[in-house]
Amino acid sequence: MKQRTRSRSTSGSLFFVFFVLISGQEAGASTENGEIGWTDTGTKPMVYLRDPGSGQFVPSVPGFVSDDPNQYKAELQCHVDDNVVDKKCLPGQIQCPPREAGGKAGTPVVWKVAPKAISNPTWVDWKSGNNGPSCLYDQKPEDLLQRIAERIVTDFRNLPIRPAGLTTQPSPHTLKGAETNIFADAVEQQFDVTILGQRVHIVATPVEYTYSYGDGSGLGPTPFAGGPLPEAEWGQKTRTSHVYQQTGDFQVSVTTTFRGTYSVNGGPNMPIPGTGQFASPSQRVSVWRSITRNYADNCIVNPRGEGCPGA
Amino acid sequence: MTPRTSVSARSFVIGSLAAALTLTACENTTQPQSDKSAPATVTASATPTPTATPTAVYKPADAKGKAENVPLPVLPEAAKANSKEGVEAFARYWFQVMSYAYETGDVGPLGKITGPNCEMCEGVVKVVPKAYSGDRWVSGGVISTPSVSSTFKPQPDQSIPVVVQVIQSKIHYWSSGGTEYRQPTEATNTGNVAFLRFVEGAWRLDGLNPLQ
Repeated sequence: MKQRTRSRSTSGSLFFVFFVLISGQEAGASTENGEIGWTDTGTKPMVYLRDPGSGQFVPSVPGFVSDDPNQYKAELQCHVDDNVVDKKCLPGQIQCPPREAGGKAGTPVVWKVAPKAISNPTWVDWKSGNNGPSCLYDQKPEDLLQRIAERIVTDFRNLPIRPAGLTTQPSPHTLKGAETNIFADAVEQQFDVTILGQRVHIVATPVEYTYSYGDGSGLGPTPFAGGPLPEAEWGQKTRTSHVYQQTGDFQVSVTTTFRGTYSVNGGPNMPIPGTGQFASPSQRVSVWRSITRNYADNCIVNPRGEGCPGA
Repeated sequence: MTPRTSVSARSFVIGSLAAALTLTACENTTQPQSDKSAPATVTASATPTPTATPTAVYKPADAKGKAENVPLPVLPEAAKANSKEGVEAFARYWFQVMSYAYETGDVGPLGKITGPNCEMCEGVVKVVPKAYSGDRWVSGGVISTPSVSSTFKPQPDQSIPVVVQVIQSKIHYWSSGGTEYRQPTEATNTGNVAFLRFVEGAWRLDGLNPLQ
């Protein structure tokens, strides 16, 4: 990449840069971007999964949320074995300058990636978004990633992850026997934290919701967060609505399950094993009863009728 | 062949000067190259001995032009058997033929060994020739299959699934003069399941899906 910057001084290369800008715009405007890599030819074939029971391959269900299909591992650059350094490899290796003046230099690592679905796969080098080196800063870099992996789920559960917002429709009063729409609203959240001296970037994604309606019943865990209904449609059944059978005040709550990924010093986003549960503050719902009566007259004809001013 | 060789030898002198600059611009070499070394390289390659360039030597594509003398993969004898080993050998062969399509733009041989139900294959057959239309070509895109395995247990639809790791190298898109007309496609390393059928004494690949 350094070479390219240098060669921009020639007029031919200036033309080249200009051309790329134009064609980039064209690619954005057209539906066919000219991409021919075999995994991205415009067709979106169904992801298949291996059924552990039968050993057969089954298409994923519609709406299947694709996990990262890859697995990752890091190798200390030029380290052949514990404390053994490949001297021939050293001159070409990436450099990890100290992070602050007077600090210690880091240890460069090479990240490898391979598809999860293949047993004994061939690994290839993983490329970071900024193409920069991946460095570890620790006295004992050999098992640093392992030590982070062991505690990451605990750290994840202690993050100040904002739980879902909880809404009931209608609110705060609803009717006994009617569908009360109750839904959660949670968003993906990102955190930059320091773990064992390394900069760790964590992405938390809501994946499941467990509703408690306060009357002894609940729903979930379910992948459905539900959603708002326009006022004209209040009372309709939704995937997360609930019918109260009793009048009274109830505490409604939802607990959101978050899954996460973490990246160490700019390395790949790796899945955090396990999940975190984050409860939203409960809300009070007052369930009222309604009585419907039919009348033959209006209050002018029958001022003493029930509900009329003269009653 | 003789006149063509001399013409290409002459244009090679001019071409290599341009190419030397273009290549340095694109290659991510770690070794710094001084600008003065470029003319030196040209002088060295300016006097090629005609006898040193045999006619059918494979040459991968680059900024200067298409790949040359790409050998069409030959169906191995093992890939003709209706067995676990046979289906695995055929799956390997099928991806070699797909690699051939990427290196030449010729999707004909791939179409002949592919069944009608493979969406992903249709996509390849449709888009690859476009990258070779007019004065365009690609370099890279070469495919390898380091892991190919099948239990030879048929699916409910009687097709035989084969799990294949597919690695495709980075693709550069070129048009005349060695300009890259769009951003390259990064290399991919994927797990897939191919579905094959033994029809009329020969294997056909009839489905190809990402596997998780």
